[in-house]
Amino acid sequence: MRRLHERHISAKISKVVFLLICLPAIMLAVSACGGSAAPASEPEAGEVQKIEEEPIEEKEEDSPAEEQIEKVLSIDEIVTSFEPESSVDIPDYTGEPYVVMNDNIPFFTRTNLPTESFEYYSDLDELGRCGAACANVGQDIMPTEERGDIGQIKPSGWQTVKYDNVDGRYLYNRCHLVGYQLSGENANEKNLITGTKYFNVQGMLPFENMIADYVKETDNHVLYRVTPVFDDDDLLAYGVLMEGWSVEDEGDGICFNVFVYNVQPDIVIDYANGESHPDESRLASAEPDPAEPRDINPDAQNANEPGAQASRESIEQPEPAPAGTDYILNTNTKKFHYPACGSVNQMAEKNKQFYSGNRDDVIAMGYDPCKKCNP
Amino acid sequence: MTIFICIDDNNGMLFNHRRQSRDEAVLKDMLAAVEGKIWMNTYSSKLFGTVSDKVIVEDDLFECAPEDSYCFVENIPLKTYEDKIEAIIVYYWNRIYPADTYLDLDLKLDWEAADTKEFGGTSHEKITRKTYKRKNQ
Repeated sequence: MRRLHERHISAKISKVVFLLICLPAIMLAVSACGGSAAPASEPEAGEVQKIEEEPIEEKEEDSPAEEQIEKVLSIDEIVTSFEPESSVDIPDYTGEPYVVMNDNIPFFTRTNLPTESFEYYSDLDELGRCGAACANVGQDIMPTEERGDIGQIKPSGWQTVKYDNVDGRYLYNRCHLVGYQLSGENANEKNLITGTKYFNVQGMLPFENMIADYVKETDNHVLYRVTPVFDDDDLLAYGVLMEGWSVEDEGDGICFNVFVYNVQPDIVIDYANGESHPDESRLASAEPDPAEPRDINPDAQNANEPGAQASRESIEQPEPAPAGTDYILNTNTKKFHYPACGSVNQMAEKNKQFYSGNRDDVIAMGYDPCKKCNP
Repeated sequence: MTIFICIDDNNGMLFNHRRQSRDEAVLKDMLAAVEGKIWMNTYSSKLFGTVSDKVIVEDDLFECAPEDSYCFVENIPLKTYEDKIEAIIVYYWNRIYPADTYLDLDLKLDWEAADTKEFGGTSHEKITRKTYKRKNQ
């Protein structure tokens, strides 16, 4: 149990040694603590064993090397695999819901993967926190019914709190590690963490959607691992590492590795216990939502975007800018801002571009005005 | 030249060099909309592999496809070829996906929707198809 505890105390928010988080902890959970693995159909121990004990074609001494049949990895081997064998840093949050890790290549091993569906959920640790969850997502484990009630689960760090500037008002969701739409896993405490609305909807959901569509359209499998990262004894995860890889086509359809931040724009969160309060500095200066949506589908543009309501209510509309005005362009989001706009501070340096000129010219370049500073 | 594209609610097209989504109903809709052949590059042609022989595969798409052709584009920036494009048929997924490559045309600036159609997909509840034509046409 001590090593399981060390999984969490090893994590640093800006400098997380993933090897210490994932490998020892998950190995311990799998080998000693008995995390739950389930095959595609109704769980039967024999079926798990079936995967784990996939016949291994041993190479006979006199057989040619090219005829060697490689072993299909077991669930344990998959869940615990982690490459490279060095520490990995997580960048600080800079206003985007997720950041790409390892050039989008999953850390888990990507060879000799099974083409049968399975699910794995780590046991809770002594603080009641979730560990890694992993699934080989296939159509056979996807739900056929609407999701049931999960309100009886109180994940670590859970707080019931509302804010006017949070879409739906509730700051926290019970967030499935392996999304319900992928596994049909409903009220499993080993699969639910406390996460902000922004984290859930802007961070995790897009990746789950991408996997779900791919699996439904191809009938292939996607190996998907979600690892919550806690700092010290914090009860609220700072975020989750999400890795996905399409098995049958060897990553041709799905291949990603991202860290999703458990944050909510304009809200300050205490990760030790999940308590929160408005970011007074940002509200006082009416600074924009760093996670402002990009130029969107005209039909889909509405106030339901997280943070959108707050921004529209809190910002005064400035006078039209004269020609020759200075702007900061975000080459990633294709938004442009006044230099004093709070979003500029949240912007990654690589995405910043200074521009001095006419507003119409900026728009003609394909940029849209920031909805908060309204340049 | 008429272009078919698929985008999400943030105008995203790709993530990590891969399409955000796919739907068999979109492919069928494209094929039904075109009497002749649809041009596309090798990447996109894999989607149609077993679906249709109406596909012409050409990686130098905008240089080789005739002016009156229909082209399905997933991973080619369009801004450079905007002058060649007469109409854009956009399939909206009506969802948000991860994205790092976005549509580089401003449909609100120089284009206007000529018609709109909605239909259900095999993995999408509602797909919206909009045909955009140049505002001065």
